[in-house]
Amino acid sequence: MDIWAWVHEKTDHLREAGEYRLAEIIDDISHYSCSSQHSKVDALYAEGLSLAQKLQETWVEVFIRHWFLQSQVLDRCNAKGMLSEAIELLELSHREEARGCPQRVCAVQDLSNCYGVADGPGYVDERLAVSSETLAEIDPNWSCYICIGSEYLDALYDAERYKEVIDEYARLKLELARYDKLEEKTVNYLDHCEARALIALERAEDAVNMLRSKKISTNDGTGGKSTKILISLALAHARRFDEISEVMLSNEDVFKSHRYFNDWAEIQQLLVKEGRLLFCDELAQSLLDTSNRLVEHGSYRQALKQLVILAELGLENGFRFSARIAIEKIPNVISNLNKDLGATAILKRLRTKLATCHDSIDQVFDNINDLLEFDFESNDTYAQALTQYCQQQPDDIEAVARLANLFADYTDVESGYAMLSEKYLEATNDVSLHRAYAKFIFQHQGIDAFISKFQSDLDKNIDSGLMQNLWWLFGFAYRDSDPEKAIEYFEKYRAENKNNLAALNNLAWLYCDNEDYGRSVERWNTSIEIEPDDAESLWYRLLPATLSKEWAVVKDSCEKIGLDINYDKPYDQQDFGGCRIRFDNDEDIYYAKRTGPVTAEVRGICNVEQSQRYGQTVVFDPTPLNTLDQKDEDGNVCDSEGYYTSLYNSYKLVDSSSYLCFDVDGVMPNQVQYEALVSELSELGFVFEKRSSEEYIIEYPNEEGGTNELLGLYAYVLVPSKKNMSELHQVLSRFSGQLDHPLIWPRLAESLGLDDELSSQSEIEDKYNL
Amino acid sequence: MLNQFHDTSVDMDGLLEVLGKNLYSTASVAIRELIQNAHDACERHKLECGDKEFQIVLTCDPEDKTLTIQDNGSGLTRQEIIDYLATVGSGYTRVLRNQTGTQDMIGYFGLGFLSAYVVSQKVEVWTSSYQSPRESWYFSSMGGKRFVLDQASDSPVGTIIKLHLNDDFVHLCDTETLVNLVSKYCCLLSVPIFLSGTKTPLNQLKRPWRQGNEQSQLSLNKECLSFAATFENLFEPIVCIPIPTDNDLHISGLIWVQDGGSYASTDNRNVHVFIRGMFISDKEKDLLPEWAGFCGAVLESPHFQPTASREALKTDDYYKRVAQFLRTLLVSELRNLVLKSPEAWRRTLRQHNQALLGAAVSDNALFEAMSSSLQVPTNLGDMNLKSVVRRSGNEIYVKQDVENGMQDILIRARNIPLVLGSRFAVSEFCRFYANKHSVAIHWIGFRQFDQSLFKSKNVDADEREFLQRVFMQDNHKIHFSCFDPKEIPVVVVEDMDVKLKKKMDDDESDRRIGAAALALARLHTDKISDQVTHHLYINMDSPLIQKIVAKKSHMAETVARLSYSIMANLSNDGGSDHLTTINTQLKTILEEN
Repeated sequence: MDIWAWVHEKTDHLREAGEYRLAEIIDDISHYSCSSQHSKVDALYAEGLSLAQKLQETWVEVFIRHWFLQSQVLDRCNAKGMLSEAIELLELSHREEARGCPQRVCAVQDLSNCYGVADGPGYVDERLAVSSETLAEIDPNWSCYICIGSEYLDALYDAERYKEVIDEYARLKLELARYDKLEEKTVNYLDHCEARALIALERAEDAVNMLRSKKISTNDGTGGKSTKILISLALAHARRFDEISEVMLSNEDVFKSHRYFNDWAEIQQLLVKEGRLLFCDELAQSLLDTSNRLVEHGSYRQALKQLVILAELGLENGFRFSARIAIEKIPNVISNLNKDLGATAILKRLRTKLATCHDSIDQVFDNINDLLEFDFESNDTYAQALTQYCQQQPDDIEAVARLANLFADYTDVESGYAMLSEKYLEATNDVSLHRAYAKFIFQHQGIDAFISKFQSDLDKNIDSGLMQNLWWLFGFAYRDSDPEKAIEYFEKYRAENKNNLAALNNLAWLYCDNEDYGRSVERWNTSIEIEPDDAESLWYRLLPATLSKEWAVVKDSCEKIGLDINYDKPYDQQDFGGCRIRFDNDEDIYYAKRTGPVTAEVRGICNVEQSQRYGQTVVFDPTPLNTLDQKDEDGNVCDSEGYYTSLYNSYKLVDSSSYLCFDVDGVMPNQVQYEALVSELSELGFVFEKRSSEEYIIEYPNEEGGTNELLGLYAYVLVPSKKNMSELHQVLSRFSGQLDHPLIWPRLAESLGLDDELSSQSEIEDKYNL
Repeated sequence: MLNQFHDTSVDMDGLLEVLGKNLYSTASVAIRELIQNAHDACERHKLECGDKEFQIVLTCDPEDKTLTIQDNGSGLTRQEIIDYLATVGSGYTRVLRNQTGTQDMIGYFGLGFLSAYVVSQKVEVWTSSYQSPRESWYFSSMGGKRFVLDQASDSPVGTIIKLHLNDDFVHLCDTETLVNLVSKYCCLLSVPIFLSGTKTPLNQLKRPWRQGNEQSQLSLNKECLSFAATFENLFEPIVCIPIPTDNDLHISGLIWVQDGGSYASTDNRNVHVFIRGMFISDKEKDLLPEWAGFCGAVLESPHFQPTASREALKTDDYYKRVAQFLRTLLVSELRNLVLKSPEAWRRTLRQHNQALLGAAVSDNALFEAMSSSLQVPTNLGDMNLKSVVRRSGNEIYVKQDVENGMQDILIRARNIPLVLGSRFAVSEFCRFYANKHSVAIHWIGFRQFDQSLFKSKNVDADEREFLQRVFMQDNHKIHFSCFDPKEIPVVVVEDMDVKLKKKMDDDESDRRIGAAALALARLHTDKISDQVTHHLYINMDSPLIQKIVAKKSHMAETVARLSYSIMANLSNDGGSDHLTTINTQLKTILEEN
């Protein structure tokens, strides 16, 4: 079965049926999956799946889900999150409606891969059974024959049956040759299996020679990359270290796909042992990071290998802190393996080695400041020194807090927490310790964990210092989700810390966001009393003051800032010229008339099909988003994008007037008639805007067989939503009836459901070629 | 036996044929090489003898099938003709570059003149060197293997090359072809190139990044847009990002955002690479990040290493460093766009919001730069996630499939935004955002069901007993809870894991799926308990439930069961059985009244 012939045929059919997007996704998802562009696979997956389901294209659904799993499981070793999905796909691909779908076989492979990735050696028997069963179903004419064959060899490899791998490799090759499908010139996944077996049998030179005798796929896909890293590994085992850099993958490629982590780590280990590479913080962090990523994806056997390498390298190279972190992570990994297969013995050996291995620092520090100022050769030695210091000075809260956070930085939040919490339980009334403890939970375990841990303490009669710690952190915990609660806690904090500017400013904004403008002004007032020259506070105070119409406060701010105000006019009806307003939610920008220090009225009219903001009044954030520091060819001041007005973010919509927009088209009436129309519409509360210029010429055939040319008119009329649209229709009908060349307004007629009017306007449209 | 050295003999005819046929992809490249030689001759003159008004003139004669390239550069002495013109692989440019370190000369391999033989049956050269201006030389060769070298009548300093084109390449002396060729390959060359008899050079394009510092930002923007437009066939550039000239890699140029594209996932990267003003390739899109499918770029650097045909670049360490540099630059400049150029950002967003969602999840730095600005589609219209989170109370609800289920109904009834996660990149973007901002995310659809939508509630033993009796169905688990909106009394949800287990335990699976594969699947599903097939959430905040509990009458029970049937049916889980039940229960209510 030629899967790709089916794909081409299917995408052709989909395109013929107008389903271009799904056809595109079918083409793209396999390509992106093969070239490790995982984020694109993820981005396309939900879209492709929903389209396939909508069209009830079961085969396409199987195809998309399979390639998603290939990317997730094979490349990113995500066994944990994908096991249910793999089982679902197995079920779907074996239903009646999917019978004959060639990727039915791939779905079996996806499921088998999940177990192989989770704990390859732990599921050897099951994987051998599945790949044997699948191989019996297909022959080398199937393009997945090599993949399934390599699955079988991989399982043998995981069982450490290396000689069998080589025998089976030869047998599969014979089978491929029998069907004329043996491509000897290019490296394939069967070759990878043989190479690994050769390396395990200490025949790394043979592995190098075998791989190098063939062509490596150059299309930058996973096949080519897997071959390159395998050659690097074989070279490292063959001690041909100088040749590795020519073929080794870049770190960017390695860290993109979990599948390369183990080979990469093994190569690094061999290089370090040989003295070709210096073990350093960066390498330790990379090993830690890759092991964490493998654990997150449920790839436990591979994670174990990363941690063991990190622990061994750390212990051998004076990175005892990193080694300790790695060793402490191993028990959790072992508990998730299907079979132990010696893992516990390795852990025991590493623990013994850690216990007998000494820290690599000689200095003894009497106080934390000396330690912090010392120039350590690595982060790890700093961590070792800090650990030692904390053992000697267990009551130095700052040091303990630093060490706990260091554990968290090394992704061992549990150890950091355990240390702090043990300390905290010894002295629950120590304000500094309490702050460090609470902050640690807030930062490293999340807001929810912090709230559930400390919520009940808020009702207890605890020391004022401890309570202030909680009020402050609870204020932040609720700042985005529950402003009222945030206000409550910040206020409590402020009551004890009257001049705390951070609390005051937080409160001023929270009150303003919560529409309690009076209190917001009060908080800004206090803030300004403390820092009278702070222009920011003066400007920001204008927001609540304007919204609550506290004009005396507005005046005070304006005077202190030095804003030129016409005191004869209301503060929100000034003439500050034009500006532009950006509405937060839609990112759209509208021209507006600035009517006060922080107020503006939208004057821009959008295209007829778009929703309108004309007439809306806003209070805006006075921090301009652009700078008018350029000059155009005529010397006019503008910003770097050529705009002449300042741009502000809308803070609050004060008047949400809404208008409907309709267009009017036709021959331009004479000036008197035109002015009369504009005037009448204006008096009736409509907004008229001419959109056409002198270049709008209407050409239409005359009775003599020639063409007449007349100046055209195209205009928008905005109708306030509270006003009756038919009133506009009546005005236009009456006006147009008096003209030699009538106008048309089809959108309005359509909105009013005036079919007769529409058909007569359609005739005018045809006559004048509008 | 002693080892002996032997000279390798070269079959010149064969070599020329191989090089001619295989080195260049199109004949146009051969002309580019000759123009480049002319350009380098001018640069050489400038270096060795001083500046003057240099020019290159192209003359085509379709009737004669000839193309002439004339320059007023350094010219060649008799010995130079022998050393460089008549020796393949030997170029003076390389010698001079090594001697002086000049970056202005383009040639590299000494293969340029070879290209003349690729397209011509005969090549004639008249040249006079600035070193011996009174001597002029005539060189002629048919096919390049043998050549004639003779003294020529006096001619000004410079070189004239006349190509007698092969029949296959006669199109090269067509004026339009030539104009297109020069516009493409030589548009950035510093020496003006004229068509014979015209006064306007064919290569007038000015690099905006070389215009000097006194230029205002505004006029630089305009020039950049106009410059970028000349390199785009399909799109208009809407925003330009000049590459800062003080970078360590000595790369210069411009990146721009295109005005449109087909699909958000489509890759329209359009990268033109120049080395010392000569166009090399427009196939090097990997110099821009994979996610930048909506960008174009013109890049120029003397440090790019071309392949021998000079139609592509070697992917060497420098290439990779440039790609990394451009990635970082693009991220920081897009961030600047968000912060400092709101109009440009608005234009970018309007065209590429979806593509940027995809890009943001490919690159952490880019995500950091623009996550608060990008918009996601929701049932209440497009909005940024900050607004979604604000309206949903620090949560994000993402609907992943197209079908409506019970959870959709709950979310819609609460009038909070439900993000439509089945669109390109939206789900992933929400996932990233939720992770980075510690926001709870709820997945609606496919096989996910989020129990955190329902908060559990303590209920009196009496009420509990009554409600359990009224609502209990086989294999259902009742959860006493409270949730919004209060108008919804109960929600029935099928347990997806149990559903999967059932499918795997079904005899049909035994029939259809291979035994070993099924056994592997059952390794997982056997661990799932099938005691509870459905979860029934009773909303204790619902006025209807409160009334049912208060009345505890027969009719209240009927209403309760009816509400269960309606809600089970709404959650697409009821089928015709539930519809029959609803009818029966409605009848009961009518009879009782």
